[in-house]
Amino acid sequence: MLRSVTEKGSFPATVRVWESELQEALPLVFRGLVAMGARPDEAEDAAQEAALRALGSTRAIERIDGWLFVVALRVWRARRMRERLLRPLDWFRGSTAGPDPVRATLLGELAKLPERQRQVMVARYVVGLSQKETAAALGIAQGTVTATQAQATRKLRSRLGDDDER
Amino acid sequence: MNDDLNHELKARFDRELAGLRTPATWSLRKRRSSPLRAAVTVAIVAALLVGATAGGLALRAARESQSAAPSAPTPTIAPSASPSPTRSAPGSPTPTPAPSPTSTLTPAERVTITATGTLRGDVAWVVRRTSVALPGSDRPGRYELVLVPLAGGDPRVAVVWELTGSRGGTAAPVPTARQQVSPDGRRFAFASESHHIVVVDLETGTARQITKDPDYFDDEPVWSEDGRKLAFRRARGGSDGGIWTMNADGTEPRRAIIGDPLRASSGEPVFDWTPDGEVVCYWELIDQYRCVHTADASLFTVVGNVNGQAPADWRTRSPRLVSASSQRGAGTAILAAEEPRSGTPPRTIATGPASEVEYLSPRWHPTADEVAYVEVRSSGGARPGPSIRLNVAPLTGSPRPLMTQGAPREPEWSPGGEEVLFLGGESNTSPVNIGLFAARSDGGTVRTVWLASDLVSLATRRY
Repeated sequence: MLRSVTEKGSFPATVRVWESELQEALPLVFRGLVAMGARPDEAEDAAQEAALRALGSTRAIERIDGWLFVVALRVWRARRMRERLLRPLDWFRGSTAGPDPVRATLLGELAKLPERQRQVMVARYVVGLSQKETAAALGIAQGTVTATQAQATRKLRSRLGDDDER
Repeated sequence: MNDDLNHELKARFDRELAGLRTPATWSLRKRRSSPLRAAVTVAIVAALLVGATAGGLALRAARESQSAAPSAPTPTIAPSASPSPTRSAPGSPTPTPAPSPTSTLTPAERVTITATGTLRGDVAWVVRRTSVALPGSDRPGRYELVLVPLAGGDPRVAVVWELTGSRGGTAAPVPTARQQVSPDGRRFAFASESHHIVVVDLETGTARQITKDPDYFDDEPVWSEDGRKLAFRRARGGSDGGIWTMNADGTEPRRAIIGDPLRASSGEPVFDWTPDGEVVCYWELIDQYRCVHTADASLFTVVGNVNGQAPADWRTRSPRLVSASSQRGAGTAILAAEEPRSGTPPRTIATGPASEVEYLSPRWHPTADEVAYVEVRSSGGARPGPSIRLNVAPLTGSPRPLMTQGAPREPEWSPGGEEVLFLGGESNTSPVNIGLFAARSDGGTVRTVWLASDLVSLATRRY
């Protein structure tokens, strides 16, 4: 399609993932997965797998960090499920790893939240997505993000004993 | 944007994740199967075979396991793992790793070649830098030479080469397609990992290392117009530098220019052949554009008393030379055409205050008396940043803009002169639009040729 040279924004839309954007997003996604409960090695594996899928994607990826986070989450969960097949006793016990002292505090309380609340909080506080970007990444309405975030924040602050009200 | 976050919670998140060791590099190589993963795979297969009641779950897990299973080595983190333009389906062939049987290259050269077969039509050759060697990282810089048919069709990677250390870093000279693809378009010269010049026959995929002296570092090969010679930069551990010439098969090397001409601040090369294949011209440290007869090493100055470095372009018809410079003292930037040593004054094509404007990359039209060039004008208005335009100007008459957005650069005329190809785009839009574009030379329309990142130089050829 030919476009006039004087058209504003005259370059047609495209789908690419840039190396620099991936480099910036991957550490955030890695931290987000750990905050969701992944071991560091699991988080690294899942993040790299997600990045590989991003490079091979032909669909529009408007916000790479949100896309990576969601895909990496799925990859991590799928691998955890396979591990549970091999370790059914651990699965029944509810964990596949020993106690982690890090999870005794905020991350520990975060793990007790419902899945959706955990996803929203990690997307906002760790990956750094806005409410709109979180809604797009998770496939939910922005209003749902707002409400979910508010609920989760109240719970965490209550359990952690924060005095200050926002 | 994130003003609604609770500050205490944010601080606590940061504190609790502060001790987390984030991986320093993301190589994106598929990890070798861990014993756990192998055991999981075996368990899943066993469950399928005995028809376990959890077979539905196992089946889904098996599919996912196959998709995540280790496979052949995958590319490093780079958008161009398999270059695929948006306007056609992905799946451009990736280069096969084995050099051709007649190649003199060793694996240590880190070169991968895919023969193009018989070349036809008008094409653009584009150099793409898909990876940069970063300090402290073992990841090499990675370059690709990509064939882009101008009439349509999938781009194809012809040559991939890697450079480690500083030569693969951001400060290294950028490969210039217009100088390193031979004038007939059938060979490509470049400097490999071992600091030697390699020439690739693009149609057959064969490659030869044509410089071999282990005492020298060779780089930046430039073809002569007749394709029989190469000029190149040669250095010996930082000293004994110069511009040398040799035959295309590496024989008869001789030094043409003593000393090391500076590289242009714009990153463009500063030495080139004249069309007769007998003279190499270069910008010299003391602000002159000089030429050297390769036969007798006699020197003459083409443009003197200039302040600044900018490439020039030669053609066979008078006036043969177009060059961009800034006149010291007068503080004027000039784009001019001239016939060197003719006594005829240069013909000014464009001019402006040197404090406000700079001209780059002048390119003669293949047949007409027109020049395409890039104009960079510092912003004095409300909009921040410089204004960068791609213009076309006749030798007599006013310039006309072809592209005023997206920082156009590296202009090259299509072989027939109907369009000006250029690299450019806008990286701050969503989605990002960066790549190779073509503007009608009459200023009519701009079309997308190939959307891709990290394109660094461009040449056009007709077969």
